[in-house]
Amino acid sequence: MTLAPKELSNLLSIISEEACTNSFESLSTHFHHYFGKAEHFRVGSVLVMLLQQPDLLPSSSQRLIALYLLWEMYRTEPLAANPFAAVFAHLLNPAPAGEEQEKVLSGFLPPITQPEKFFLSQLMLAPPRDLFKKTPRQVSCMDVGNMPQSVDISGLQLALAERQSELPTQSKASFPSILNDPDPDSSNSGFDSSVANQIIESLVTGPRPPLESHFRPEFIRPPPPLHVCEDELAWLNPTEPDHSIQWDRSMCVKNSTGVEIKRIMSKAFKSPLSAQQQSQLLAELEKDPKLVYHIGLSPVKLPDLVENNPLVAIEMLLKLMQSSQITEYFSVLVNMDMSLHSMEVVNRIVWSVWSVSSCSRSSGTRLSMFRTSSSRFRLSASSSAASARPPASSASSRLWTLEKTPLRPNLPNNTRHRCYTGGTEAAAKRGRFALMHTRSVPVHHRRRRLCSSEEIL
Amino acid sequence: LLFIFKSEQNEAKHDGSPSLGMTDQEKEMAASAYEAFTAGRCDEALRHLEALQELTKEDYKIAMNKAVVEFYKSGQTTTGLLKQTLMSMKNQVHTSAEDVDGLDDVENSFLYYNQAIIHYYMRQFSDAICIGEKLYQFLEPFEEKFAQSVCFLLVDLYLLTFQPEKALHLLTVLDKLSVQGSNKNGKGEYKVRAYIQMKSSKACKREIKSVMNTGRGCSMPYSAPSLFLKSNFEYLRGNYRKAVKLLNSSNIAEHAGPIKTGECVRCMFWNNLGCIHFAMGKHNLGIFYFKKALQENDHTCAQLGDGSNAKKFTGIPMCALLANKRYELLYNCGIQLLHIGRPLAAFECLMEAVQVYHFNPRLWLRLAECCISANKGGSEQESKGLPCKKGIVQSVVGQGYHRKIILASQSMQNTTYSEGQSAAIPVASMEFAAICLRNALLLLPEHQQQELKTENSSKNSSQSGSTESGSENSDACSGKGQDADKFLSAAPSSPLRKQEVENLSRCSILACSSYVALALGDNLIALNHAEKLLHQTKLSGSLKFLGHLYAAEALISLDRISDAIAHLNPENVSDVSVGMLMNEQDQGSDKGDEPVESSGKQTPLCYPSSVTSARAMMLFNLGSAYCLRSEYDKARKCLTQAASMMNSKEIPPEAILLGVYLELQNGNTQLALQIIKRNQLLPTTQQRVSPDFRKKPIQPLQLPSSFTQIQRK
Repeated sequence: MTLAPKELSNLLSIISEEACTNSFESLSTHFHHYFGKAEHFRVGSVLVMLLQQPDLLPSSSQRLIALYLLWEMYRTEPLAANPFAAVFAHLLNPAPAGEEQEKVLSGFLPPITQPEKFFLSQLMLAPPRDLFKKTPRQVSCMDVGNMPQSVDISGLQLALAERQSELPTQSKASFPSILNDPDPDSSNSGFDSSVANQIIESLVTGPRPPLESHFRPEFIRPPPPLHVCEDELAWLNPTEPDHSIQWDRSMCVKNSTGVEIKRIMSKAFKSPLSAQQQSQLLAELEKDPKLVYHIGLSPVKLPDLVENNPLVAIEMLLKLMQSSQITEYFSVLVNMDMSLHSMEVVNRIVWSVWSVSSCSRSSGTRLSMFRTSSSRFRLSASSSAASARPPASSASSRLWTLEKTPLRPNLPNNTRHRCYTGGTEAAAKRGRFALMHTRSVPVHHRRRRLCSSEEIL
Repeated sequence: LLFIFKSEQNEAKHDGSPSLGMTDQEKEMAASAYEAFTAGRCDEALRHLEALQELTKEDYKIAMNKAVVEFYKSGQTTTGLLKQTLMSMKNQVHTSAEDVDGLDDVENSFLYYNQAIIHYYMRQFSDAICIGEKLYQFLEPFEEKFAQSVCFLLVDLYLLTFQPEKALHLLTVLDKLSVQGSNKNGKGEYKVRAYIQMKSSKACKREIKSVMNTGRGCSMPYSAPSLFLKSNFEYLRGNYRKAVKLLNSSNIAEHAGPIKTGECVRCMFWNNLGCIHFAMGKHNLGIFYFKKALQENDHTCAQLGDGSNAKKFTGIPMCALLANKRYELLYNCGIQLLHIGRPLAAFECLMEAVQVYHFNPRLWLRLAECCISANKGGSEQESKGLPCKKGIVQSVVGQGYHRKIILASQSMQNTTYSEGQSAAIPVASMEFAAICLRNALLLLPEHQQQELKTENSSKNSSQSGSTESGSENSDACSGKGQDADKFLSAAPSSPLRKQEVENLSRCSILACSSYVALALGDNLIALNHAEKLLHQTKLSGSLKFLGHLYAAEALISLDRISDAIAHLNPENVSDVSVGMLMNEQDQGSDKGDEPVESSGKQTPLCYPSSVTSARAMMLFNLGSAYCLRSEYDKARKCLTQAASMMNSKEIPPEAILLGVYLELQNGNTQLALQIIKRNQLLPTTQQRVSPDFRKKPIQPLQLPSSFTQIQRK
């Protein structure tokens, strides 16, 4: 919205005291010579500012030029569309008599003389051609006493009011921020246009000229205080970490036994083992309790082993009891297709677990692990299962059920799953089965009686 | 090379069996290679391994052990090289199938472990954790010693990444593991670190006692780590003098130095002194110590030759790769500088730190605060109670008859656009503050209720779709989710507790967001943030006051003046404390035996300085709002009432300008000029006496503002 100094001096030359002897028409030509349509608004703003500052635009003829140019710039458009129409409306608005003198408010348009008023009202109407043939000086000296003074501007006022109602309240409440503060001690030693022009330049040009700023009630906006919290800084503790690169101690110890056992194992998944193979396998497992982890029995493969070599499966599962993966083996086991072998394995595991828990004084740890580790198992006894008595003692009344509840893999958090796939969903659909013992059987007893196995759909 | 020879029995065990895979000769060679290695005779070990390789090429482990020996031979300085070697070995092992068979991993555990170690020292903690957790699944088959190594590595990693609960869980596992074995010391120290991160003072105290009591003879001095930990504990409890004393009693001069231990204890010492003085509010000392720590750190880095980036990870012993604490120090320094009132310097530091800790919402908030404080401008004097003339008069143009006063437009001062710069380029601008705050808000977890809902729903969905692989994922996720439920990571400092997040961080972030949006002219966003702020359950009185103020200003700009006036009721302010101290439940319980020093924790802060001044500010703003509705009488009443509540020297420039505005509106230019010149509000009694003809105030010419408005459109 600022004018370049060059533009400003052009403008000032048009409205200078010397220019007042030119006719309005020739002033208009000059003006359009210097300024294109794009600059009109900026120029208009400067003119309004000058009209607001009587000390910078003292003579009536100069004011006439300013008013004329404000009108001239937008003469092809309807009057109400002129962005400076409010200036005209304000100046023509007849103020109640008596108030006139006091109204010399800073930033407001000072009142204008009668000839100026006359000229302006002519502009509001269809102005006669010859009016613009006159010079500003002529118009300012006109005797307007007997000429029609007032012009009806209510239509214009209405249009302006409508336009203003669309503006935010905040914008409507603004003053220009330039306040006149003439020094009372200084004598008004005549108007010096060069001094005035200098002041105008400082008001209008530059990056953020005072012309642009406005003054309105402002809100106090204190910035938020710094966030307050505890323990924000990084305290550093020496930790003396001693993690180091390690030698792989399993180098070349993957021994022959391992290879042989692996071979037997791979066979065990496919067909029943010979008695000799089986005993060799079991013997090796007995020797090295950790061997079971190294010979390729993953949960996925468990069903094959169970079907072909249930005895081996039982032994291996018992060895795997310590493993965090045991729950996965269990869940595979209970989701297997039902068969005599699978039931046998399940049954044996349950009994062994029970016996371990009942024999050891850390009563029930295995059992509870077995129970909780997979929610699909629910191990229940009709008489107290936690009692450390051998099952033989309370004979036929004991009823063990191992029931399959609908699949719900909400395993304890600390158990990690290796992924495996299996017919788990299909198994889930088959529902639940229960293994029931109506007769007590010692744990180690070979011949257990499977009284009933039923599928409930 | 502190390896304990353990696998002899294993070997002996299989001696008798018929050999199909490995010959006895090979096994013997392997054993002697290992023996040479543990004895530190690297060359001999290498010779054995080479001979072994000639016999059999099958086992990649021979090659790996060769690489390990060569690494040790280089004094552990060829970390980068070893990393590459291990990586290529891993790729070899896994060419066939992407570990379908879990047992395969048991075989390769050492390879994985070594990879994890390298990730650890290269600060690739999440990669290291990933491998470590995989190994942890197969803990049982491992021999005890190795299982322990895996666990300790994971514990350390969890602590480094501020997941104390996971670390504690593992430590209990370790307790079980080492029932028979040698009780590796340091477990207590790990526990203390975890409890400190969790801010559970009681457990921490118990554990510290046992740490201090064990692991030293009666004449031996306490170790530096234990002293530092105890000092940390006392620091957190607010016993600052005690904390300093403990730090001083650790004999840092005798410490082995960063090349050996990978830690610069001197730098830590200065840093911690800085922390203590910061907490005591002695900010100048704080900055002094932090700078010292930075110097020490630079010195260490220079010693390690960290400057040469070309040959990264070579030439420095692996353990020293962790020695550089630059980012932690810059973080501390930045926060200290912000509190000392040097926002631009603070911004520089924190910008560097945030590149590492970009998941810390509080750090983003601090960055935004730097921007805000750097853009506050003249209000610094204002806060000191010295209203400067500059706040009212922008300039004086001309002299004598032509003298003109240009009033300062506060809105111009308050609205800051930094033109021509992308907001994404970090400059301490309000635009950048907005970005920081958005990041901070995004990093906060959703409100609790919502989170519970989503978590439940995700659990349900994983239950219904019961493929096991799916449940594996959800398991892992929910494990993390649970952790995140209680704690929110705020590295490099201890994680934030849930309530801390809700009460303080979210409120502060919202308040800043609203303020920044106002400054940027985003009124709708500002209103949105302010309203959210006012809906927070545990809102401090101070921020509640600001929330009302910001909401009102936004509403005014949105032309909803009546709504704004509702916010500006002075009754809305009843308390201006900044709100603080939430660990009373922790603190109160054990105050009994050790009195907390009186110099201790922060006294409750207030902002603004009192309820009265807050109310006065509200009244000033209320006056402005009335002005906009042309209710000048009410505005004047507000102004005089507010002015009477304040020391006349403290009256903010906005209030004085409101007085000027009212006089101008009243047609009283002379009085307005007087107010400006004296820079204070004047009693204006007689002006209202004969307001007969002023009933209808003179309509000011509204051009300038409407012009700007049109221009903007």
